[in-house]
Amino acid sequence: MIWRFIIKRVALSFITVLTVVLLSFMIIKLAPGDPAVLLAGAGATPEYLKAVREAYGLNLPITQQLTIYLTSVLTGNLGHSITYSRTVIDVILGRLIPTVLLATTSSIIAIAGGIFLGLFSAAKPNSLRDELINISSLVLFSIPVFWLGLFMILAFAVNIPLFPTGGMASTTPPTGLYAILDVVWHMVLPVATLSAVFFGIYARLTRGGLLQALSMNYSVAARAKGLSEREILYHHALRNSLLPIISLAGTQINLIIGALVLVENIFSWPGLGTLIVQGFLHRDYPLTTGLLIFFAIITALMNLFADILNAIVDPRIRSSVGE
Amino acid sequence: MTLTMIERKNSSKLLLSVQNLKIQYRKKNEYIEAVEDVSFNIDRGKVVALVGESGSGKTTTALAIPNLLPANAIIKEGVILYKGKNLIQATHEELRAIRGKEIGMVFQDPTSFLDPLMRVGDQVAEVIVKHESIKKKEAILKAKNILEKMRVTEPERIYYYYPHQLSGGMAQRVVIGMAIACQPSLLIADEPTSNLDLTVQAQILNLLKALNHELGMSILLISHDLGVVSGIADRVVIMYAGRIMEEGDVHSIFKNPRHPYTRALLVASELGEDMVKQQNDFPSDLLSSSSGCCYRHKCPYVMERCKENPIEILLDQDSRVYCWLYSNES
Repeated sequence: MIWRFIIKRVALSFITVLTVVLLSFMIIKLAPGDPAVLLAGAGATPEYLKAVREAYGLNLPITQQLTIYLTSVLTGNLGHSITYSRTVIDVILGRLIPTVLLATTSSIIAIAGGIFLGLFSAAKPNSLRDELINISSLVLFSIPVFWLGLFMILAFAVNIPLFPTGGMASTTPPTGLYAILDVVWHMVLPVATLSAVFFGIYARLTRGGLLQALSMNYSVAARAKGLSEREILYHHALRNSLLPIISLAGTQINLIIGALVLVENIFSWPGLGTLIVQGFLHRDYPLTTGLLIFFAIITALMNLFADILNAIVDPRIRSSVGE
Repeated sequence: MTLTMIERKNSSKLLLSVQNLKIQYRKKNEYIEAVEDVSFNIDRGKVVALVGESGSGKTTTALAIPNLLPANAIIKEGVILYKGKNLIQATHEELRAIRGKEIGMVFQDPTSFLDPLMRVGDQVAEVIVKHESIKKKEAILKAKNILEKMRVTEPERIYYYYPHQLSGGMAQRVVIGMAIACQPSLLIADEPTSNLDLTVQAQILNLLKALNHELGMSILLISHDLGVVSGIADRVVIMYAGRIMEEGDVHSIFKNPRHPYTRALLVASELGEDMVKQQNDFPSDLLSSSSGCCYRHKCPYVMERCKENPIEILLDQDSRVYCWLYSNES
């Protein structure tokens, strides 16, 4: 049953990614100028242009071009970057680890911290601590990311020089274990900025979900069974309130990517966020469309993951697929 | 108010005694009276039915017994004596030890009272683990046994089902199983058969009857339908607008209904008409006005004296009515 569900969702994700690839193809087609020039780069020689035309089949009819484009994307060929003179895949993979490090650390802190504070808040609704958590969550997710990032640099790197202003490692990085600590030290401010924004959302969502679950009939039944509020919170309400949190975490990946671009640029983080901005600035179309497709795949994968997770938690979703 | 004669006799048989219960709901800055001066007793092994239309305060009364009222409800006055202990003054710990162990609860719309993410059998086992010092494994065996006793078909399989996979009738059997798993002395069943098919309704009522006969469990059955309670109740308490209208044993209520409202309920039950539908034309100002008989606006026998609060009139040693029509009989 669960496998059937997973297969169905994988197929759906594949269609989503395919749609994005189609759109990116259309963007290239609709873009002004000769696509061969765009792909090969402005300074390309006529021979190279001809080679590119033949390599990408630009002399062929559009339907055939589409099939060729699709097959090349599906086989992992996203073209060549103009500015890096390497394949787009190579460029992306070279920048992937810093971004994954930043995004996963921030997401884990935001989700775990948010759920924890939400629980802490819902355990005593309308108490002083609940109000404080509520207000700070609201403030946190109302602050624009770029402002918070700049504030962090000004406060904790310039005025109180506790952390570096940017980058992922010192110019002369230490060796051994100290190299890891050096990266961690560089991560503090960007991770704090990125997680702060999403932290508030998870805290509020958890609190709301828990309070709603506690007012449901099954919580009344649990009370009638003699369970304490704490037992109801952990054995029944938390699981039930996880469902919207998982869905949110999945759909929020695009917001995280957006915030990531800002944070990476503010902190000069050598990841995909700085890469895409450089791609735009240098009009490196193969790189930017490649990144677009790459982000689409990541988004689809995260949504797929969230759906599978939801199906594991919620038996109703599993059976709705039809056993 | 003084204790009635009914309350004084047979005190050793007495399991639950609700005395002069008064409950208000707070809505913004308004207080709405939900239950006013409600008193009744439940003897060990007996089935008492609380009958009235929606909004009559019967569910509020039922929820007040194990102190499961929503946060905006306030018990203004009254005593709820369970085995001689006043539950209104009990601590949270004392109440938790009583809920599920001494007093079990069954509700209307059973599926919503089951956690949608937990196997139904585990929800039965949960209450056993909570109140009995036994291991999870033994509790699972016991829960399967209980499901079988609740006449759940294939309990071994159904144990691992989730609530959404069960029919309403099957879900109600599980909820009843959950309520009686620790063999409580009192089972409170709030409209246990509403929204169920007629055949399923009969099966659930038979199940409750069996619990009463075989385990000697006392039952407080709450219903809007006199027809439902006729085959199972020993005593019937009729409520309207938060007050008791009439109380008597089941035969006297059906053979010789005294209060005009009881008669109206009987007619409705015979016609198969749903008294619930009447809730909308319920005049809301009556909820706050505390003087006079609350049924006088609908009563065909209304007279001048009905503007005064009706007093409790004992008709014989076993029944009472709150109606001025019988003021000469006491």
